[in-house]
Amino acid sequence: MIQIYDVDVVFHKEWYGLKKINLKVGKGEFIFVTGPSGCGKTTLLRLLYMDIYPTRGEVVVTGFHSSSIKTKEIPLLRRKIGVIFQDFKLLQDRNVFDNIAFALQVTGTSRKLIKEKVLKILAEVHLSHKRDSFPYQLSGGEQQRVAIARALVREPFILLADEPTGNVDPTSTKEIVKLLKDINASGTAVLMATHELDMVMKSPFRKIAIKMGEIIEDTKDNLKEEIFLDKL
Amino acid sequence: MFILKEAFRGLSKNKLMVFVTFGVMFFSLFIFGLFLISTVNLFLLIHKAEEKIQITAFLMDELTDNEIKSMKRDISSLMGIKEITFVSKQEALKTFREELGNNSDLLEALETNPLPASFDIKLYESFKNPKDIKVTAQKIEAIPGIEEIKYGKEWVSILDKIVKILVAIDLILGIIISLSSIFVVANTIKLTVFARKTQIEIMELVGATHRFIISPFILEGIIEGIIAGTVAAGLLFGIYNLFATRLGDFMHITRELFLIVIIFGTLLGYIGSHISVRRFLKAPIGADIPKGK
Repeated sequence: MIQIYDVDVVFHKEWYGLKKINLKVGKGEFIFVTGPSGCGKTTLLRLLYMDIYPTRGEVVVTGFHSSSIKTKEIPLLRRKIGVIFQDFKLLQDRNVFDNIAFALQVTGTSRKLIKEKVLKILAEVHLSHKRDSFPYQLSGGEQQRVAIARALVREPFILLADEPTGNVDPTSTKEIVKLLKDINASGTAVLMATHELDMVMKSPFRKIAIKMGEIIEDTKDNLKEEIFLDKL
Repeated sequence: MFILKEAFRGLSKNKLMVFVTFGVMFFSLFIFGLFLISTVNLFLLIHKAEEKIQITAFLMDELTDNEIKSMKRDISSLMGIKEITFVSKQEALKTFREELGNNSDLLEALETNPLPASFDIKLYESFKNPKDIKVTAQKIEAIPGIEEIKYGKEWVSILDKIVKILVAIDLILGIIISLSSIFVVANTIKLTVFARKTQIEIMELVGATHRFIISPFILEGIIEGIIAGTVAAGLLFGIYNLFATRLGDFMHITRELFLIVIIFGTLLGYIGSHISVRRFLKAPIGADIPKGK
């Protein structure tokens, strides 16, 4: 589903965003990508939704190759991927329903189908009662759930979450992680980037630790607390 | 439908920026309109001056009617001749008498008519340049029976130089006004687009095509351009009407001129918004890190 072969991302002359990355993501997997701020987690995610391309190596996402994808094909790839961010990226001038509907409107879905899908996804993220609220009337956790709903309404095969709990309180963090696990349980792969090592360490899911642009650990076992210190 | 809805949403939700963009567009289009009016009048003036250019061929005395007819035929067979009018000795005298007015009594002293008959020869516009006039005049002069040729040689070459300089200045001014309008409008629209950066990011993320992302912004720009163009054209028309009576024959203004201002307004909106949104499409999504590669 996702394959990354020997990928380097070089931003400026000698500034490596990522170095010698090899990675495979299977169908329906849940993966934590962890590491200190600035280690390359976001860069890895951007490679997957092809906002950037590798300087060397190749990224393959559902049959689209980074070396040969045309600008015109990028929207087609993105329709198969859901992405959420730390800052939610909601449209402040529209209510919850319209924010989610927006993802379908821009690809020309019929009004009837939009309503059907949005109401269904609102129920899944437990926000049906907030459908008419505006983002500024919601808590951080609720806003992130709206963003998740917007990402999922297109029924992607994978959800890329870039620090989704970075802007919410501990209770909301638990709720969001639980929601992501539920989403994964229903068959959607989830790749969640976070620098909160505590959340990841003892999780039963696959964990990828990145440091200075390189993968230093890729395991289902528990991560050691000193992992990022060890490899200094 | 979605594009139309989004365009109107953009116009109604960002009133201040829409107003600023409209103001900048209006001002650019007003200047552009003034420039157009000046250009049209400049060309009319040039046309009027060029209309006066003609070759007068004076004939020898004692030519028969048949000889005159055959000369006329010979001249009209030359390239670039638009119209030939024969002026007989009597007609020349009559015109001269009229020109003298009160002093026409002086002519009574003459026993014979000293004025020669002539051909007034008008040329097509494309032949009204110093080189072609000279060549044509030489050819006419070579026709037997022609005594002398006059066409204001020096005046023609001065006029030609002035026209060339004026047209060059006008062209440069036109380019400067057009480009600076596009530059200023594009930069103003950029501010409007910047306020909706997140919207563009989201559209890119959920797989909207570039055309789909750009369309509402372009439609907004076009709507603003049409309105600004219409208002600018209306104001120009109003000002013109106010001064028309005083300016008399000098100022000319046409409906096409207003249409051009409105069309330019539409283009300004289209190009301006296109340039602005394109810039944001190249920006990274979700992070302030460059796109790399």
